[in-house]
Amino acid sequence: MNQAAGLPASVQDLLRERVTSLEQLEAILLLRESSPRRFSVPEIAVAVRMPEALVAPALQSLAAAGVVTAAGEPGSQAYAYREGSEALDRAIAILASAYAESPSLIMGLMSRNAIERVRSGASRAFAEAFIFKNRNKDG
Amino acid sequence: MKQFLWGALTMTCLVAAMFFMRYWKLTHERLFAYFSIAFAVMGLNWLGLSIVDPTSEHRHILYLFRLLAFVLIIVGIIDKNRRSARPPRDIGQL
Amino acid sequence: MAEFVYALCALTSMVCAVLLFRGYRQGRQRLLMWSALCFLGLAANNALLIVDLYVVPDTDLFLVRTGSALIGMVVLLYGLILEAQ
Repeated sequence: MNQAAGLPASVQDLLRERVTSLEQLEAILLLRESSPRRFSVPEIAVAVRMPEALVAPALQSLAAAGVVTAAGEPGSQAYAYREGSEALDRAIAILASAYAESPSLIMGLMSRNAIERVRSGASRAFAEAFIFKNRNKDG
Repeated sequence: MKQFLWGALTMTCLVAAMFFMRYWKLTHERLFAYFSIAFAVMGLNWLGLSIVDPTSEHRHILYLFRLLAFVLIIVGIIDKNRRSARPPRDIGQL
Repeated sequence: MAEFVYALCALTSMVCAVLLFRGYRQGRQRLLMWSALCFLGLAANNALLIVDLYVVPDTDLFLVRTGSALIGMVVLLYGLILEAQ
């Protein structure tokens, strides 16, 4: 995790919890650049040059994480960048410039986070077992 | 036999506390901090019993350690549920 | 007063055991099963303390109740150590 030392804690938290895949990263950067414009899933898939099958769940996760807003019927939703949080916006701005400057650094960080998430799968399951209301979250 | 059982319980509780502390550091999940402290306090309960060796274990004031340990677990569970119910707003609130 | 504390401890342990068993059934994470058994042992420890106190005051249940707590803790450690990667 030494390479991450240059990135502020807010950005590291962002990568650990809310922007956890390349599809999510590309999508959020696209939406932020074009804010407040709303995009549909097919439009985003074309713009970031990734298959819809990957982009759709990525956007659902981003919406659940409170980073983008969704509007419309389920199945044909349109997404936009969520304004209103300065801290979030600042962190994403730093992430955007870090990604532009050194994409391999960011991708390396994301895969390390992914590995960490798998390794801590049992402990996460332990913690989530104590939530009374049963919500079926992914993973 | 008493001392052996109390000693073993003290050690296992402390080791469990250390494992939970490790999970807390790895995952930043506050519930593990609560469990870690709770098991450490439980260990103190068994340690206290072995030091004092009361003739009547039930009524001894040491039961307050037990109370503290389980209250910590209850608080941790409530805290976890409240955090999970809130939709994430700002960075660092997860 | 003490008996209410032990009852609370037993109840809390049971709740933890139930939640962990439910979690294990959903995700099949073995750590949850071992943890659930641990809390079962702790529940037994506290419940038997009440039994020792009120139901059978002439009999000493020390070995059974303390033993159940120890078995529970050993099972928990077994799960935590196996889980460590």
